[in-house]
Amino acid sequence: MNTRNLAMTAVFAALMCLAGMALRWISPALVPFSILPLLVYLSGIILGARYGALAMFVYLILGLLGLPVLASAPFGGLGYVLKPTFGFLIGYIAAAYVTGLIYKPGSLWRAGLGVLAGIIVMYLIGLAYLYGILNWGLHKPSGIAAVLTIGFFPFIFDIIKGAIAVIVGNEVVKRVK
Amino acid sequence: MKSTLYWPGTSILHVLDPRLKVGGMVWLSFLLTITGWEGLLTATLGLAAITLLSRIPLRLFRSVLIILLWLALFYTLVGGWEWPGTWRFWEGHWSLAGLAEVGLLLWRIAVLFGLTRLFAAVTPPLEQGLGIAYFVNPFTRITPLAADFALLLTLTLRFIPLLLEEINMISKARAAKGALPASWMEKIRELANLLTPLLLLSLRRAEEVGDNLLARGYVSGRYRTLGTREWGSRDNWVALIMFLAGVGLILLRG
Repeated sequence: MNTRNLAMTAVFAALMCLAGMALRWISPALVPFSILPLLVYLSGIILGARYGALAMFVYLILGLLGLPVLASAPFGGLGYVLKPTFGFLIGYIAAAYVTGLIYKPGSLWRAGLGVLAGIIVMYLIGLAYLYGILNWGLHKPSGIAAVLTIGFFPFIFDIIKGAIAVIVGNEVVKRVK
Repeated sequence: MKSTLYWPGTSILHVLDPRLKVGGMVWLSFLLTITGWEGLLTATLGLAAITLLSRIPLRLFRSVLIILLWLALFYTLVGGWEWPGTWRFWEGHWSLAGLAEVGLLLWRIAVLFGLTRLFAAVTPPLEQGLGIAYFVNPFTRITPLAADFALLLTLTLRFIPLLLEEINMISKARAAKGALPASWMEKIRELANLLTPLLLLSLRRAEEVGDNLLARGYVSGRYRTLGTREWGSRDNWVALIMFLAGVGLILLRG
């Protein structure tokens, strides 16, 4: 692997870890919501498909193996797989990959398209996991429509975060290249 | 890494080798997801005993309790309340079987979360990370990519305190300017303005580290992780106890 890209991947994984804990430290006036999804799309845009997904994978592994970097208590550990929202964490890996795959450096509309595809993939995986937890974990037969309803409101917020990622990511890529 | 999660101390749990703590936590966590109620009861008593042994204050578990209450609310509503296959959920009723299933799931989650919280309270974050990276080592015999992955884990842990400094500096500089944004639109614009310099600074740091590694002759696939403590006979005994506890959880699957 390219050493410089490896270091950049580590930086994004570290930023994810810090973003997971950000709301505990930084004033809500400055960071009003979880910026994790924002960094997911940014990693795809800035690092590309392969390294972006790798950064998300590192974040997930560190969190699952106990490092307290995930967004809510207990902030890490295998117990997270029993949370209904765990699928979104798996979705981060796919979202970063898809975003990076579609994005072409400097192209704002390709960044938008990539982020939108990333959001859709993340929701597909996240809601499929929620569906699985309800139907097979709790043995509670639930329709796809009910699961989609649960996921609808966060989706609107993620569109806003995606728009920020498009503007910031494209700007950073232009300045770095 | 600045953290309110770690509680310094000198108990036996604090001084164990981090590789043992990471390995033991993963081993027991996995088995806790498959064990029966008898296993959960034993694990709950065991967790209470080692929490007392660690001499950490119980208030450290408050955040776990809060998230458990939210999960309980969600799971009780979706798992305990049954209604016909229509949208008229108000025509439903509580199901005892559903509530029992939710209760068991929440108990399992509570023990798992408690174990993780205890682990984080008795292990400094850097040691946790090095313990995790150690378990990648055996895979380096299969593929050199595993060595790169171990390096990636170690670099990530090194970057966390560095980037935390940058974030603190940027947010303090912004706070010093006063007049923090009030509306959501202003907050979003402010966040975008903070992110760009943070990302550029972070990427510059990454380039420096990458160049340093190359200058010191780093070759992809050659990285090996280091331990932070000496493995002692005490660690052997605790490893044996953890192994037996895991076997117990398997036998108590019900």
